[in-house]
Amino acid sequence: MSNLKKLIFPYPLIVFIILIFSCKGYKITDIKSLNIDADNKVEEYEFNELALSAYRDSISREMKRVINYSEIDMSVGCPEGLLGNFITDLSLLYIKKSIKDEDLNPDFCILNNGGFRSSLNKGPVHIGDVFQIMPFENYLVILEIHGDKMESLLNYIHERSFYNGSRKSGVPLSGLRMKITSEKINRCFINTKVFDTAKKYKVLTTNYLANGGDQMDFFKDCKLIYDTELLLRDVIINYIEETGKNNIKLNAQLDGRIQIFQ
Amino acid sequence: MEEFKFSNRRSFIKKIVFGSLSITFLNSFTFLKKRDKIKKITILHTNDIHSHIDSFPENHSKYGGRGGIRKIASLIKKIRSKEENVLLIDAGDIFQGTPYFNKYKGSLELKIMSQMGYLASTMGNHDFDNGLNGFDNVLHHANFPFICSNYDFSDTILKNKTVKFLINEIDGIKIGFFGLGIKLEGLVDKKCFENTKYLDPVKTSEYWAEELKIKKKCDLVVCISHLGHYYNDGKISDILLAKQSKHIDVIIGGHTHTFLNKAKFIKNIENKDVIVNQAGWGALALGRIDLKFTNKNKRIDELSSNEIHKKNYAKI
Repeated sequence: MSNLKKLIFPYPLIVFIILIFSCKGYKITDIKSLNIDADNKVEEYEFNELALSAYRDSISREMKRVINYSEIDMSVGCPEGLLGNFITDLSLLYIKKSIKDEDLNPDFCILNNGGFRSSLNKGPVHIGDVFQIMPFENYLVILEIHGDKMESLLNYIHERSFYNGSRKSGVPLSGLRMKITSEKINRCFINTKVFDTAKKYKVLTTNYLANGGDQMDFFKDCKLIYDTELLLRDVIINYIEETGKNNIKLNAQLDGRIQIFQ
Repeated sequence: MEEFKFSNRRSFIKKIVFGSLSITFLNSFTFLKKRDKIKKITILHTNDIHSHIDSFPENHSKYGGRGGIRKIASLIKKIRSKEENVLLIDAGDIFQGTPYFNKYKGSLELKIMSQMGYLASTMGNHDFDNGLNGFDNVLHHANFPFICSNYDFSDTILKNKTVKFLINEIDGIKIGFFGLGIKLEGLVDKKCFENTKYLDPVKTSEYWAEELKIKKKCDLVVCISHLGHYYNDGKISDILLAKQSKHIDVIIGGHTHTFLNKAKFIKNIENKDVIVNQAGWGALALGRIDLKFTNKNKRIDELSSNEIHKKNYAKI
């Protein structure tokens, strides 16, 4: 009888405790996931209470705000173009000025003509004009490039410096000068010094190109040394607005940064 | 030897008999036993909205006529009409990207998100773009909290204006949230984040995941992250965090603008699945995760009211 007692008492207690602990809460039994695209078929919800149209009208007024004047028409070109020279020059200048650490200062800047979606017209420059030229949310980044990769970059410029019928021909450059023939690159200067295959260069470009955009495959394995986190568009707007405040009108020149010899 | 074995078997049988008896006995107390019930929770999420309120302009080379938070609102409205338990979350970088931000400093984005019934967001690096003051100035337009577990704002004007965690109870299921931000130094101008202290995201997540899952007994632990989905160079990301985590069930990500068709399943250190998702950027996609739960004899724990965020302000 005492044996039976011993057996009865502990077990219900243990089972009770197990029951309590095994029933802590809810358990996931099924997971489904399918992300949904907000594509062209989806309607845009009208937040009537917020009267969004008032904001939109005000934005469109903002887009029409004049921030400076351009003395000339600027468009893309090959082997160099006024718009490409203007934007690469201002980007290099702006970033050099904003980076305090000299070790990070870029030697040259390379962008792509395909990224410029419009021209800059002579006369008043509106914020909206810059959005037309640079509608992309591209950030400026600084990469380290050397050796084979650097030679591929120069060959890329060489190849694209001959007009091939596409508005994408020509490469916008600043801080890099080249004398070329259709066969080869005769001379190349980077940051005013003769190009040295053994040297490491710091190049300012966009995150889009840094990821190999516009066939710039040579950037794919390059080390990112500084992410400016600045939108190229914002850099352009800020520069144009600042120079405007200092009463300097916009201008650009073709200065033979890429010279073709026959 | 034989004798011993025999007595062992007898005692084993006895144990089984008494064990079964006691289970039957306990089960007769219906007050201890609620019926098994399947419950469903739908987590919807956005990240890196970047002030895209309207869809991308028709002439945009890649996304013309797509995206924008107004389209996301239409999608959400439709899902809310079909699903009972919807949680809407954002993973940061609400700000910067269209003239709306330049002009209205983020207030319009937050007003719209408040109407949409967001439960919570976390701060992305671009949400610091107008400085701590800039964020503070528009914060009152948001009727949802920002969860920042690894930014210590105690020495800044944002002190006590964000939360470290959030517990939400929906249909009896207790969900704990914490939020992780990316390292600001080198990414954001120092004058924009001032004396914000950056706490290690891995240690922070270990602390909060355990706190929520074990101490606060949440059924589900969700990490809202702006660390980024994955990097080649070993930098901390959602994927790496998931791999070394223990109590996290879901990671809602941002920062790297990663488009995924559906959430990924990543094994954690205990070989359990962690759900990791991200929904591109520019409100081009809405992340969706549907979870089904069952309950057996759930004990109801008393919670202090300030730990539970039950409000749903959705006006759409």
